[in-house]
Amino acid sequence: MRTRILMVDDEKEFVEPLAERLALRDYDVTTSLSGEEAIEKIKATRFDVVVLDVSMPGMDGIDTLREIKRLRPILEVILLTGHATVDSAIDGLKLGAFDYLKKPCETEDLIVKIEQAYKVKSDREERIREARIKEIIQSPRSVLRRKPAGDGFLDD
Amino acid sequence: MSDRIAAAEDGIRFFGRVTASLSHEINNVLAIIYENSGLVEDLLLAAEKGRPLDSSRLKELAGRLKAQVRRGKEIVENMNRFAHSIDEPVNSLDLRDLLTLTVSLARRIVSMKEFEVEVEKVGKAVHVRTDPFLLQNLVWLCLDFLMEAGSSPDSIRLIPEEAGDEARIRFTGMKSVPSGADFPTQEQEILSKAVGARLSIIGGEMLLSIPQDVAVPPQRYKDTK
Repeated sequence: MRTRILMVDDEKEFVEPLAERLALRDYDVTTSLSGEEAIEKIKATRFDVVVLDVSMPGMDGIDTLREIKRLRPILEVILLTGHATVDSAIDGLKLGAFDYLKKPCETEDLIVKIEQAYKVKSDREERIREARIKEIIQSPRSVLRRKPAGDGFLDD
Repeated sequence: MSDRIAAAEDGIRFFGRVTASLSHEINNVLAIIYENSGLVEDLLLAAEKGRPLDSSRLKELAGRLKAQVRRGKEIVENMNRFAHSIDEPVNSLDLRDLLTLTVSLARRIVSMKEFEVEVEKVGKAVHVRTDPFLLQNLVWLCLDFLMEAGSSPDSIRLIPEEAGDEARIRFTGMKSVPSGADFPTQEQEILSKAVGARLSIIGGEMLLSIPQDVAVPPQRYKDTK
């Protein structure tokens, strides 16, 4: 299954070619031009990794990250930052971003980060699955107690 | 602290903010050029491996690259004009040009605050003889004030005009205009005094009135000549 990436950046001329380049490398890429749009897409669709610009009008990268982590705690986020906003990227790391890169970044560096982030997410999902299975085996009635998750098994 | 030192400090802060914003814009241009040229490389590599090459697509990407270079060139030219605005403490200028430059310099910051700012196209030149740098700084502070005090999204129109023996800039078109205790700010007052200008808010507009010829050399150089 292809890794599902959401690219979020207000500069259309930047995000569209980057998305196309990642698609050529066999990633399943969706784009958003704002934090608000990204949140709506995350509520509707499952992604594996988000690549998120820090500096955007309206809902900026940090506010978007905060909301992503509230909605989808195990969804990994890589921040992209311009030179003046490294402090924001560091704030993002403290809020749970996987890592950050400075724009413009080497494509291969971004791909390495995406693969690392995807692995962390997958490993975590696997551990959650195993823990849930163990819980069901030990206490079958726990299935009846569990509230259905918002849109899936893993993200509540 | 003397007004001269305060005006100089405001000027340094203004210079820093503008330069930081322009460097961020230039960085964005470089990032776009990088990705689009990388995409050209990727498509050519894919063609070498047998994927059909769409020449119209390559043409489109080449056009995008040129557009970004033009955008970068404009930013650098504005940066250069801004840097040189400090060359002369008093210079004759057309307010239309000064406002167009100041709005270009503020473009990224305005966009981040979800405002639109435009300079009204007026057919006639509006000449003043003043300190270009200090006046740009003052216009910037006025825009900043209106955006901070207003609510986005919103738009601001700047209209340069002659008003008797003065020139005037009207800041108009906003949904709401702040009034009262916080206006003018200390920085606005210092710079207004430095260029002999008056600031007021009347009938939903902010007005910046400037003498057409500065009677006294601006504060910046007062004690050095």
